[in-house]
Amino acid sequence: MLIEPRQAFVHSFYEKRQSTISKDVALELLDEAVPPATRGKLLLGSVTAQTGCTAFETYSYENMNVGFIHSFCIKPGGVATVQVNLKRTECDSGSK
Amino acid sequence: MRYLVGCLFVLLFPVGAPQTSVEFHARYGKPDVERFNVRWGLMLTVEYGTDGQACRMRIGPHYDINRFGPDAAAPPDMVADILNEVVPPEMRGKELGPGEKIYGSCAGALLPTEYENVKFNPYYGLCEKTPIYRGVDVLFKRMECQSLPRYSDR
Repeated sequence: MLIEPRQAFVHSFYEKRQSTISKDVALELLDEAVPPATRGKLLLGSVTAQTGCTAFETYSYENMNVGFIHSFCIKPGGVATVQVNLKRTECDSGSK
Repeated sequence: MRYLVGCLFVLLFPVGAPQTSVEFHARYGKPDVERFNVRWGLMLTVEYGTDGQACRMRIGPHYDINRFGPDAAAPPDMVADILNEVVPPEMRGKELGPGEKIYGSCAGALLPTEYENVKFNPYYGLCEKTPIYRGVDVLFKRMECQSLPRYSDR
């Protein structure tokens, strides 16, 4: 699953994606899509990496991995994308 | 009877997190984008306009939605076969010739082809020494498509 501001889904490769949502809004939408109770135990929290004006924050749960991509390029603190990757075996095929 | 109605309600409007396509549709309504596994491992992604009709399509190999686009190459004849199926020649209008180069497109890449009603933009993804054809983007020119987020925005 991806949670992100509305943008062109079919887009050119070098398109700059600049819109972001606040962390609060990202968390609210995340809780609606995958309530904390469905995630399982937190195994590894908040591993952060930064390149340029983009930062990645990842959380590993028993049942899923959740990643936040922060973009500081336009305004500080914005979340460009929340990625949710479920760990069910049925999700293993075709994710290349 | 009450039990049946209750079961139906729970099926259509689940209380927990939506997990299936039906549950997502029930909670959030019609999708603005859909992806179909057409054949030969090629996918058709359709982005709809405000009128519910297709505004943009991409035909290309399967790729993870966490990625920007496909890594694998797309056989041009197979892409053309699907393209003719979803945008037959009579739907395209008059061919107007090559379109303008898309910003950032690879050196050696084919130019877009402009028609009266639609534009075909070959998709190469990340540029390599020899550009790898990874499918085609179809951009419809209908008025209802103009309110979509821009295809290319430097």
